[in-house]
Amino acid sequence: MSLQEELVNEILARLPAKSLLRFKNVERSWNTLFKTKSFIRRQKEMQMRSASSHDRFIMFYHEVMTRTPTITVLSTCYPPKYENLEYPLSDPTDYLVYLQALGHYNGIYCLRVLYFNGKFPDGPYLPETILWNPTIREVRIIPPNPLAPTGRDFDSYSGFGASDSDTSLHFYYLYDFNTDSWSVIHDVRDNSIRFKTSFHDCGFYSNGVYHWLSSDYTFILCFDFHSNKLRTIKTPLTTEYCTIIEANNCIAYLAYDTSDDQRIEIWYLKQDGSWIKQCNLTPVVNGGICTILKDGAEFLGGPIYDVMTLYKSRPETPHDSRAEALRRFQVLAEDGHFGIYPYVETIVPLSP
Amino acid sequence: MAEKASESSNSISLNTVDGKIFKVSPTIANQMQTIQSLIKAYDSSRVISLPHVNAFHLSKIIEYLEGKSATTVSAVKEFEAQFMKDLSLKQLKGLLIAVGYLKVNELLELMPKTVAKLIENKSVEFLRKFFGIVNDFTPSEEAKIREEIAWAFDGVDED
Repeated sequence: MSLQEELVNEILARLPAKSLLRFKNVERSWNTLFKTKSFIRRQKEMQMRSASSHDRFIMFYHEVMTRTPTITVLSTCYPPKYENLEYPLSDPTDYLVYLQALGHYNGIYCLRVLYFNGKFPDGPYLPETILWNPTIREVRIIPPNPLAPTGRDFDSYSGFGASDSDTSLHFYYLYDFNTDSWSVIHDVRDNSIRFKTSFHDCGFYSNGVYHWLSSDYTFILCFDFHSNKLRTIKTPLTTEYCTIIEANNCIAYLAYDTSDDQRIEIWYLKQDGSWIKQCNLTPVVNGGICTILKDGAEFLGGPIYDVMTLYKSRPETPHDSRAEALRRFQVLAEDGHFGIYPYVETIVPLSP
Repeated sequence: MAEKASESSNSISLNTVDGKIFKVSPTIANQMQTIQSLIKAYDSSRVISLPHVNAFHLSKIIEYLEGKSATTVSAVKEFEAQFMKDLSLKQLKGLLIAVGYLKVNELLELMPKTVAKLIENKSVEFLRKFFGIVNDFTPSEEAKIREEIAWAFDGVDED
């Protein structure tokens, strides 16, 4: 008697991505199964159940005019682990001018890169947006947006996220992952959605919504991938010393107090668009906070030169916590662009 | 639970495919969904026949359900680890078939996890043999997939 199909599926859903890639060669029906949304979702859920799946981060770092960026997966466990990943698109004649991660969803990272081609010293610079699933080493280059207006007075902001399907957004325009095409969401000439301010280039995706902080720090612009609609949310404070970061599947607003008591106010954005104050954290960590972990019990401090620190938040009163250093990590972050995101392993395919 | 005192007289007799009779308490039998539905169909005095389960597998399932009643979480974890360690991959497969037939929910989470851990570094050929699958790819199709994801074939255990 052989194993019932459901039991075989239960075993397969508990395998890591690398094993599944190899085992798609076992038989045709397995190859098909591994591409189904329900199997992909279940496999991810199973992987997320293991304790170590929540303390891994992918870090992107590049020095101007180098050929490739350094991409490292950091495990913040003790002792820390570092694994370097190979940049998926390397051309020996290209130099990297910048690399920026626009966001990530379901194990897929959206990167915007600008190349300078050594063969053509006078330019042009070659911008490219790519989707990358490092777990299965698949890449998809997003075609240029033929609808985008050109010209100096057009600011372009990009974000990446998804509703049920995987889609990538270029402000006002939506690139649909499934149909490989661009469409207009809002016409740029529509006055009703013009803003008097610009936005910080790098926003965050969380729970189906992409968020950009306005350059005057007064509001957050949100794009909802379910309704394909833009809306704005006022920031809880008006200080200019603030950032937004990802925290436990939501967005956190951090306000840095520059006076002597050196504290950070941490606010969480609730599903309904209102703010809830989490705590005051002292002392302010040099380099700020780049990620909140374990429901606010721990957080990762931003890089100072080439060191990042994991802190424990020790509550002193219901609203005040002290930061205590737990572990330090050697990272490449000095003099260059640096980005850090949670590392999630999925088998979401990028090839059609 | 209120009937605990008369549990022995309520014990249920199970007859495995290799003809061995097991007497189990209702608490144990209740953790096997298939048996619960069979009890309803049978007259309580009769022996329930299990055509797909042999004595070794049933004894292991009973051993697990009885041993799992440890008081602390760490004691249960230790017991589970030892229970699984004592079984070969072939025995695990047979036991999982029995567990699936009897619908022992307690083991339906732990066993697939254990099997997955043991096969994750195995070769494609090992898996076909283990699951009794006949290769339906043409040699050229198989070679093409292998070439595309050659890195996924690194670090595979010897069969």
